[in-house]
Amino acid sequence: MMHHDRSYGRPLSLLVAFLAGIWLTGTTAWAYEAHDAVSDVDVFRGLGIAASVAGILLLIFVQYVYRKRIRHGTYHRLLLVGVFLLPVTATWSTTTTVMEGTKMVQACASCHVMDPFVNDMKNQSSPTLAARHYRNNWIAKDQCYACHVTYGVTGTLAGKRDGFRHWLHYVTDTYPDPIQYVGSYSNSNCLSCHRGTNKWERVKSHQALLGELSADRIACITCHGPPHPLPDERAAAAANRTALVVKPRE
Amino acid sequence: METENPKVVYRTSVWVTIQLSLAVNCAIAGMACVLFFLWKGFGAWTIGVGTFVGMPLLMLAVLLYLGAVVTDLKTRGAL
Repeated sequence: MMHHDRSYGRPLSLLVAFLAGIWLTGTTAWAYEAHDAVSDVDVFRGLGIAASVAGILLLIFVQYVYRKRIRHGTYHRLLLVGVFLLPVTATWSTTTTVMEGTKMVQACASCHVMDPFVNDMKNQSSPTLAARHYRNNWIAKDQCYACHVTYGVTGTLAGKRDGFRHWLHYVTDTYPDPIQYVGSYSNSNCLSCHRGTNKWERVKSHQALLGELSADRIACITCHGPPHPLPDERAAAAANRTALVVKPRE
Repeated sequence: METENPKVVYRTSVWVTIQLSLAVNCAIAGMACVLFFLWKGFGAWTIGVGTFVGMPLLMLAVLLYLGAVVTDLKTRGAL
């Protein structure tokens, strides 16, 4: 029976060499902007690609090419790797890639319906809250996620449900353009950074309205808005297909 | 003197074979979907195929595999 082992030894060594090549070149195809250092997302993405390619090739070889030529025990050991270990690794890597990757601004910008929001945020002359936070570098990275934390791995179930609903509307083209925000935005997203700072504490109305703000009975953007361009401004930008310029508030 | 044969050959049941075959095919399809997403990056269709199709297929494959292993072990009297 030993000659059987030798018969698939060469293809397996070629497979290992192929996977090593994938591993070394895989990270260059990512859609994100180039970074100086390798990010966590890149690492998990590379791991997921390697696990998926290895799993697919291993299972095709084991199940459809060498099934009758390998011993029973070897077959089951290879299935343990191909149907359990590698899929679990791929699932874990993909989950981490999605959860970490969706925090990035590029992920939000990957759907064109978000273009007006991202363009406005990067607009140097825009007066919106998002643009001011971005322009002044108040949030170092993942600027969308910093204020919309419900989408992350520690976010709420409602955030995941809304994300799925948004995706479904997008791919089925059943969303209003410009899009409307449905739901409520918790002040805790703002207060988690601002409350307790000297600048925030100095404003008397903040202290007077603290109960109302904490209970979300008054929104922060009532005084400090708008956070993003208004629907009519977004509609105009979409019609012109140009970078959005929002007029300063008087 | 009666000697005991320690090597007993168990045949894998048809149900286990079917489960394993389904698990293999689900795993191949799931990993292909996940690979598509990971390779292409974030996009409406890639994330849909990768996470809403690929991940459930991978989880189904793992569950089918575990089911087949448990069934097989029970058949052999190991559980």
